[in-house]
Amino acid sequence: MERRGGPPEGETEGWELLKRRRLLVFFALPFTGVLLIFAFVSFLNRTDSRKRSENLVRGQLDVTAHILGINISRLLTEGRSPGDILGIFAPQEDIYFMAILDEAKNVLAWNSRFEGYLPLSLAAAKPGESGIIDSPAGNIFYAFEAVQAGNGRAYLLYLGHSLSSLDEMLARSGRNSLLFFGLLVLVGALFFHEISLLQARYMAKAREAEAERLEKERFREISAFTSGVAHEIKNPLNSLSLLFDLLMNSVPSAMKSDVGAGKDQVRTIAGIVDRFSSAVKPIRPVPEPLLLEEVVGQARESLLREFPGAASRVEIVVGSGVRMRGDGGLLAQALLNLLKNALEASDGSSIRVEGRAMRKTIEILVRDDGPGIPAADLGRVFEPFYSTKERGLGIGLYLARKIVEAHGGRIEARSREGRGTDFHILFPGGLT
Amino acid sequence: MRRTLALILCGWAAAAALAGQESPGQAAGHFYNVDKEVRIEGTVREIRFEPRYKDRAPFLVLVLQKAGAEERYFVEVGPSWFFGQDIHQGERLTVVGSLAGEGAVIARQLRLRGETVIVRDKKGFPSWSGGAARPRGKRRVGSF
Repeated sequence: MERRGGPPEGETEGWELLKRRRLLVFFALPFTGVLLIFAFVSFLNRTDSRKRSENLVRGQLDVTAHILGINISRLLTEGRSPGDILGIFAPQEDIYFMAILDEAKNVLAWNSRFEGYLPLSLAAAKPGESGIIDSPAGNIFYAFEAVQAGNGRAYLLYLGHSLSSLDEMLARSGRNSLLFFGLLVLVGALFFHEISLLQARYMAKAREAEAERLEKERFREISAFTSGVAHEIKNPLNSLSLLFDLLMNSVPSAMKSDVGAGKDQVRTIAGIVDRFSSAVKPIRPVPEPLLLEEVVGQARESLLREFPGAASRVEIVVGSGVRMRGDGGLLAQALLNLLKNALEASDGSSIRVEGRAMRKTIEILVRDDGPGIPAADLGRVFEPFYSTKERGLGIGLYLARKIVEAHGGRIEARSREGRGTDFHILFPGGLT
Repeated sequence: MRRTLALILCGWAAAAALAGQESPGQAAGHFYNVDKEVRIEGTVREIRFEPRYKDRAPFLVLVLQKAGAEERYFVEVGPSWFFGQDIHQGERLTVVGSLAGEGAVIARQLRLRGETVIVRDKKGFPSWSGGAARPRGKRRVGSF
């Protein structure tokens, strides 16, 4: 029985392990590494951007506070009140609050984007600390600027600057990074999926190729063995045949029929040995341009030589001018085997052979109206030495399949009990 | 519902009448000062709507009489559109907030009828304001 598709027993688990390990080592781990590196670099970039932006904002805030301080100092020198002074400076978009404090950090005037909110706590501040408390309103940067009025009195300008645009930018950058990361993961997953499919297909092909190689190897061994055995058997058979010839010339007439029967048996044995040898030999077709009708005609003639009374039962319907390429002798042999099988199975009913060219294939159908093949046996009809008949080796259909496959074609049997059997052959070729 | 609507309409009328006056919110010391936090229990004597901050909606202000005393405090709660609780004269109320001038309190939390309403966080940031901080709800229930 043929063995196809898998590694030798005991190595299946090893192959699976090897496949998984290769996928992990050569694809999953490096890709995960790339993702981690991307995430880390992205994090570093964002942290760096944030720090640079914060430094920039701090610098800008210090400058703004200094400029405002100069202006407030001038206005205080002119005698304006702190409340009036803050009223003059329209709050900028990013300035969250402004306040003018005296030396003791008492609030003299203030304005804020948030009603009643001025984050300043002197009770919690240690000596020397500014007293600024963290703000929950996101990232707000603070600046304390000392302001000197013309009369020598000291004040403090307290500014709060927001970084909402930076927060938005960083949030957007984070979202984009996440999106890109997700896209990368998706692309990677698709890539791995395709790679693993390719690998599975490659492994399957590799297993098939290995199985085929093993089968060919086995066949070579069997072929060599059978050739040797056939040669050993045929030598004494030849001698036996010669002996029977000698006996035929020297025995009385009453015994000649017995001697003739004995010689027939020797011939039969030789034929069996020949057929057995040919069954295990590899088929090597010698292709040449052919006409399908000629191949079918040759098979019919061979059949009628063996079964002269079958002429009326065989109907041939083959398109004329259907060209194909193959070994005419082998193809005729294959068809002959199918016809003989149909003839022996159909028990007097008709046999029909159809042949035609399709778009890309050449189709041949051998149909009989015999009793059909049981479903349990249908899958075995092409096995060597399988037969339900009393006579024969059971290699006719097996050889037919080998010949068809050697020509790049395929053959299948379709049958229903009581409703005949079809043998359907497809060869590459056709109208194109 | 009708009472709330009536209160709102009264508040707007009061705000219109007070529009010409200086808003207490613009005063120097009128901000949430974490160094001046107080807790006051009392009874609501009046409910008002007053302008507090320039170019802002009128604020709900409760006149609270301290329990066991004659002292009254003007408790600034929040914008009229923000505070969703029903509140009535004569109700008992506990306020945590910051003193902000003579008799003025800027509320952070109110405990009313067993429920706690948060209108500012512990540093005085108003719950009704957006910004880069975490999202805030109209009302929160918790304990002091």
